[in-house]
Amino acid sequence: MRQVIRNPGILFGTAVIVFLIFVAVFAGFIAPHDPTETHLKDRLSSPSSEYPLGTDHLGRCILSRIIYGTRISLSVGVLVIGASLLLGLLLGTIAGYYGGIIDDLIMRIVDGFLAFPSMFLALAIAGALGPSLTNLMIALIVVEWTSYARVVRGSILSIKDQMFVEAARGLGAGDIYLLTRHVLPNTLSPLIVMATLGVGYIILTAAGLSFLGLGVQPPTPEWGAMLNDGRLFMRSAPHIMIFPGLAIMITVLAFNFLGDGLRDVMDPRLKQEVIE
Amino acid sequence: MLWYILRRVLLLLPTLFLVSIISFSLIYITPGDPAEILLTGPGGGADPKAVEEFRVRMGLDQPFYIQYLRWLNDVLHGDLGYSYMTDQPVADTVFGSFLSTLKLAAVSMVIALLIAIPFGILAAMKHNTIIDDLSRLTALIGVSIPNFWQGFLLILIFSIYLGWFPVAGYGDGGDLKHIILPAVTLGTSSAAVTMRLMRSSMFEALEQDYIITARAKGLHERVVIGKHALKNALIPVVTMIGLNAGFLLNGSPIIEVIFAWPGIGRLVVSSIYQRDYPMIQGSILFVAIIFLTVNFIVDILYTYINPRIRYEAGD
Repeated sequence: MRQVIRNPGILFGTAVIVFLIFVAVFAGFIAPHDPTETHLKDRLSSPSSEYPLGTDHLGRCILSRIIYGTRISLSVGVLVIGASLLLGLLLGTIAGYYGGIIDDLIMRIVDGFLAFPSMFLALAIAGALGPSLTNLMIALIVVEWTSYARVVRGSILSIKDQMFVEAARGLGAGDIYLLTRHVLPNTLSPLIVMATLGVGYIILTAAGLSFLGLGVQPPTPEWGAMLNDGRLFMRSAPHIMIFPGLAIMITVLAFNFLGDGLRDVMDPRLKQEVIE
Repeated sequence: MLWYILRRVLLLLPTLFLVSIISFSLIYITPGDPAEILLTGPGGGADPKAVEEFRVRMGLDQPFYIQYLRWLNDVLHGDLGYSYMTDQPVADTVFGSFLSTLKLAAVSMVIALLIAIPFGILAAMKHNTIIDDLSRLTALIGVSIPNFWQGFLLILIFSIYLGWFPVAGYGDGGDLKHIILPAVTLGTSSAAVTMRLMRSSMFEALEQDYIITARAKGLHERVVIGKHALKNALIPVVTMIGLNAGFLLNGSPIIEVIFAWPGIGRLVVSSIYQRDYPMIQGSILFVAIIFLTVNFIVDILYTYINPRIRYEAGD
């Protein structure tokens, strides 16, 4: 625990994430303007006291849109990773624990999905389903669950034949009991690290897909879509794309810092290297 | 070795089969009838006769498995069908745009390695110092920057303010002036990961006994690092080239859209906008096969360089 507190990455990452959650929850109180309200008289204006980060091509307050955008990015990241984790845990556990044909079948499916570069598969699925936030999340889950299934299966295979599991089985423990009490807790730490880094990656990818017009639809404030709005006004009003990009970077960086720090603390092999 | 390669090829077959099913099924997860959506103009509903005609012409009136088998048979003969939009053969368009992507990826890879190898070595030599921490921080920032944002910043600085490079486009067959900005955008993000890997493998190599021997012999530090350690440290970086290929491919849709680069990423995005299903299916399938092939070759190369893996794999 002391290591967790001392690790600067974990500290920084957690602080920023807590701040972002605060912003997302209290967006209604913090934001100076309504994020979708247009002020055509003030369109494309530079940062000022009225609009701290300026306005976009419809005169909407960029700061307010970024503040409300926190809600979308955080929830997409957490929901997609949560669902992928559940799916990966379920299928990975079944594959690893029961083995045989079931294992072969599940792992071949995993291989099939992993054969695509993830961005292309997500693009194609989100595109085929049609642009919407829900479809974007479905596409990201389809792409993401496979790596969790693989990791879960791998660690179950390495644990299930060890003595302590055998011993518990000898004492009459059932499958479900063995899995939840002995096998799964041992796969937890790599999963926590993966999931933390995964949230950052999903936020980045979701923003990218929304930037391409395949995610959140206007006028909902979303960071990637805001960047896309700013494209045409890059010369006259670069602030439209600078600030949402900064928001994406800081958020993703926070999750990467936290995940990287957690890996140092949780992975005993790396810990040794640090101690040396 | 030959037996090992053969076995790996056989293991690829079920994956390829699944990849083809996933690629083909994309048209089926679309809500509604593709023919109807495609023929519905801005003015209103599609002419039912035209829709029926289109469905028969494109074979969309057949059951799923017949359509799939027909498509698969064509694919195996190198025919990916015809674009709904241009009536051009999909295979030609896909291959042509892939060459543009390949060009961009090659330059990006060179940029990535030029950054990653020296800085990775430096971080390993100065490990646990401020330089090492800085390299780690830079790498974390590198993977956290949205590449579409980074692309815009580069355009803003180097094209709009300084006027050194064109804003976007392919120029004269993708000349140097046009390739620099997209390649730097793609290359720097993959450099971040490669640099960390270079650092850890260099660090490991420096711990080996033969390095102590080399130093004890009184060899110059430059020779120790450059000749003895680097040779061994570069082995994992070879696999990294495979990983980088995935990284570069994943970045291509967004980067190519921003820089108007006529590659396969932009082709997929525009086919999605136009609902050009044969083009989407063909390009997704093609990209997956390229990706599988690259990983396969890297795997084989890696086993060749490092025979320990072959035996560990239980052969």
